[in-house]
Amino acid sequence: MRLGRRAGVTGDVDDGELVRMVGGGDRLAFQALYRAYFPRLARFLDRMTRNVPLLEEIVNDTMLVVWQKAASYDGSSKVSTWIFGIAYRQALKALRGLDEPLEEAPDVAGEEWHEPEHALAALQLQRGVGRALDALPLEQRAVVCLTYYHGMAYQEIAETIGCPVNTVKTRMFHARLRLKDMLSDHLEEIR
Amino acid sequence: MQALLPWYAAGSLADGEAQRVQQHLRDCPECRAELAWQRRLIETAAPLPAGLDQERALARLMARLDEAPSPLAQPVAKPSPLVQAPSRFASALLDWLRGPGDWKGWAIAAQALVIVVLAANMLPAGAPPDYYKALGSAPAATPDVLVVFKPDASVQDVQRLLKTSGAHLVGGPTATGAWLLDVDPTQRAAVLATLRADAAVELAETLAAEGRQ
Repeated sequence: MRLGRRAGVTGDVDDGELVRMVGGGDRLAFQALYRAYFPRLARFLDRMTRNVPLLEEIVNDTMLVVWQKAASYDGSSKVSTWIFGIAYRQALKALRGLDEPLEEAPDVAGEEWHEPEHALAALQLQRGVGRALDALPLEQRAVVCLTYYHGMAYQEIAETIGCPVNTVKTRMFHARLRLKDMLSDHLEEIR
Repeated sequence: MQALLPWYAAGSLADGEAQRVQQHLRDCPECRAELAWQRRLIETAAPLPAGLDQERALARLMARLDEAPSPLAQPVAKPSPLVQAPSRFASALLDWLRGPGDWKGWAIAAQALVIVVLAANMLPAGAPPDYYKALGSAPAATPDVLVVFKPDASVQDVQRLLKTSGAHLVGGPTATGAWLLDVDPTQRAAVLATLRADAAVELAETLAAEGRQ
């Protein structure tokens, strides 16, 4: 499933207007912004951690910073770039040193063989891709995820994670090599 | 050119770059295969993990907002510019003070008094200070002493001082970071001496007209 690029619109009010209202202490506007970003942030962070409570906490830490900093948001970058940038930094802060095991629990691998055969190939592929993405270093994973699943241009990714555009391209290059290597078993299905 | 393929596959390249990639793809079977591989990768993204609950998470966060209100967001009634936002020390002190009982009413009265007192101090000597007396005779407690603690004073220092001096903290911090104490008038001089001698105290002054120098 691909989310692709989305217009930053929630109902009749665009994200920029919502952030302005949040900056004025408007809680309803904050809730609207939260609901608009929760699925997007969850999808982004889902590639950083499979721990659901931790994922929700990182979303909340991110949105708490949004609440506190909304009044100083100057509109020089897109709202999504600003919020994803905060989420990226919160995720690095939460996950660095945590050293979460990214491998799937062993029982999950066994489960696959009890699935109906027609769904098995697709599911195995999906899990294979998921495992491969999880095995990438955080920085590479973030670039892959923002590129493939959030439709972000490389310039926007550079701004979001705070690095030069060439670094984004280099991380993507290395990520692709690693993904190819890890997914060699699934190459037949992917081709 | 191959470096741009991920963003071409995801549809996020600017028009000019997308056209160049497109032209390149016509003559490069290797890149076409790579593009197909990447598109397949994009399509096989796993669903979100089970157990995520947006509303539950939002409810938790809204509770946290109450604890940490936006520092830049103004409440409905704008506070007087004379009253500064409490420091961490002041917040800790306030938390401690917010034990049993509601002190806010007389704290506001006390704060108004101190502002008037400070204003009165700026008047030329001899100006009749009667009006602040009238304000100070609010039904709530009347603070007798104004104290400013050193920046490195701890809540424990304040607790200790109040205990040894027998004073009661009735309000603050004011615009100048001062706290207001209620003391037994007969003990006022002794309390002032104790406070002034303490390392945690920057300044201690009486607010009682007859005690002021």
